[in-house]
Amino acid sequence: MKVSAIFMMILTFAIIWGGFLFFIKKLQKKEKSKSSKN
Amino acid sequence: MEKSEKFSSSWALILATLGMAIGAGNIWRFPRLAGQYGGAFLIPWMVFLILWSIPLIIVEFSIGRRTRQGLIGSFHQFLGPGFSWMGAFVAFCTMAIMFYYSVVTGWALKYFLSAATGNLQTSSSSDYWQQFINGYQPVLFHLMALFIGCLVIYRGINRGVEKANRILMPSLIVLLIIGAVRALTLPNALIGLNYFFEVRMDYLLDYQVWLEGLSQSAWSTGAGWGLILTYAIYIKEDEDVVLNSFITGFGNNSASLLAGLAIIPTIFSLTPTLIEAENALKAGNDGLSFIVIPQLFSKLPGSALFSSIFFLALFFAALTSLISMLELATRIFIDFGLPRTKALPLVGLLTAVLGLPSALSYSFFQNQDWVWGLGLIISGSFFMFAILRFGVNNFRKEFVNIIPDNSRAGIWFEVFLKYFIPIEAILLIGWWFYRSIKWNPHHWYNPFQTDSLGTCVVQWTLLVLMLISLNRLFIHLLKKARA
Repeated sequence: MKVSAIFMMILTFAIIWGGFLFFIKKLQKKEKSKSSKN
Repeated sequence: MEKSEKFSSSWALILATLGMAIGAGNIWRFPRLAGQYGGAFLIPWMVFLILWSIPLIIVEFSIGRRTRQGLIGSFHQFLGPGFSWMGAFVAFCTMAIMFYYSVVTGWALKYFLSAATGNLQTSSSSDYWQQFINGYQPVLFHLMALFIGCLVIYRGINRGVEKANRILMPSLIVLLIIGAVRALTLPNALIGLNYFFEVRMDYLLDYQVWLEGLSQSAWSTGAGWGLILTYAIYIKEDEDVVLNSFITGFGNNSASLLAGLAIIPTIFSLTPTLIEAENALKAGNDGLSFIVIPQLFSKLPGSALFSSIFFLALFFAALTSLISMLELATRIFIDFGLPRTKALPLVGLLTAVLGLPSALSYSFFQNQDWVWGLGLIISGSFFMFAILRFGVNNFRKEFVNIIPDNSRAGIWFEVFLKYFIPIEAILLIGWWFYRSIKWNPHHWYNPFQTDSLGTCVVQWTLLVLMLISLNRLFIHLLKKARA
């Protein structure tokens, strides 16, 4: 595998999967604080 | 009018919207394009997730949450009664897709059952496909898929949509992970990965690759179809629509990447030469899924198992999207005053009958896929028109950023809706029409040509004229139901 392809693979996964997990984590936090308020 | 249910939690809503967004396009279209153009395709695909899909998903979520009505009722309430037909156009466009999508879901079900029982004839997969597609079986499987979808919608949002997605979505992800692990452990899988991620400058500078990325973003996330608007009817008032929109968009693309990992290395590992692998990726959506993949999987030890996994994943992905389309159509009739128990059989019957031509004629299916797939860009433009007419700034303040603790749509949201999305919509329509003229240089105006510009213009115009003439009826039915 070429180095540029490896770089692109890491970048793509970091943005898409990283982004998805980041937003899921944010929702998780929100839900937690909501339930503790209740 | 029926009292609306609500999604029981944000997680239930997320699973449902991901189920809506992740469909056949993630499994059979994305890997085909990503394998052909590599990293040069992934860049525009990521850029347009932000510049097209997410703003439109936010728009749909916000309108549905406020109006608490399906597409026709929403446009009626949001833009005024005179524009109800616009909502009807978006609804019809998605319903027209539903009519043949049920057929596609049936194909996936048939191939899963054949693979699981060891009856998938992989030695002559092209003949097997031709025999299947030209016989009566697509009708049978179309009706079976539709029946399963209707069963879910009949049970309503909590007991139907939520429960089904709670089972189907995690199962789909597990199936894709198994497929990806198997693909990545095949010999020469790295060649496929290289094709998947290498950025070739000639492709990156090719405007067509950028428009392919935009097309994939427009079709794959479900933005502008009215499906998210329909699910948004059932969300809680304080639901974070901006955060949910980002999760839907990024989640959809994450599933596409998983599907790419499962399919692209398999193709490059199991085809004897690179040219054959490249040709396999050019076989078209159904050609790749129903002819090339069965052929390739037959070379693997335990081929029945891996074929079954692939077609079950395709079936689950298609079914969860079909469910959301059935809910969209059912909701329209609920807004007209019918209870769910009467609206759903009507939608089921309509889909069964209007799906028949696509089940019986492959060229009719291709025509409908062309006309209404492209029609979705018009649908997206109608949403954009609605927001521009209302005022983007007003919309952001009065519809999106209304709960103090929630994530906020910044000024970027206005810029994207005002400037980027209109240009993208014009470019997309213009480019696909240009392609159509290139495909049919002598018959581009012929309305009876499968993929001509003429067939789009004629079918859209007829629909718009019909819906404008029915506008008064829509207003009457909505008012009567409310009274």
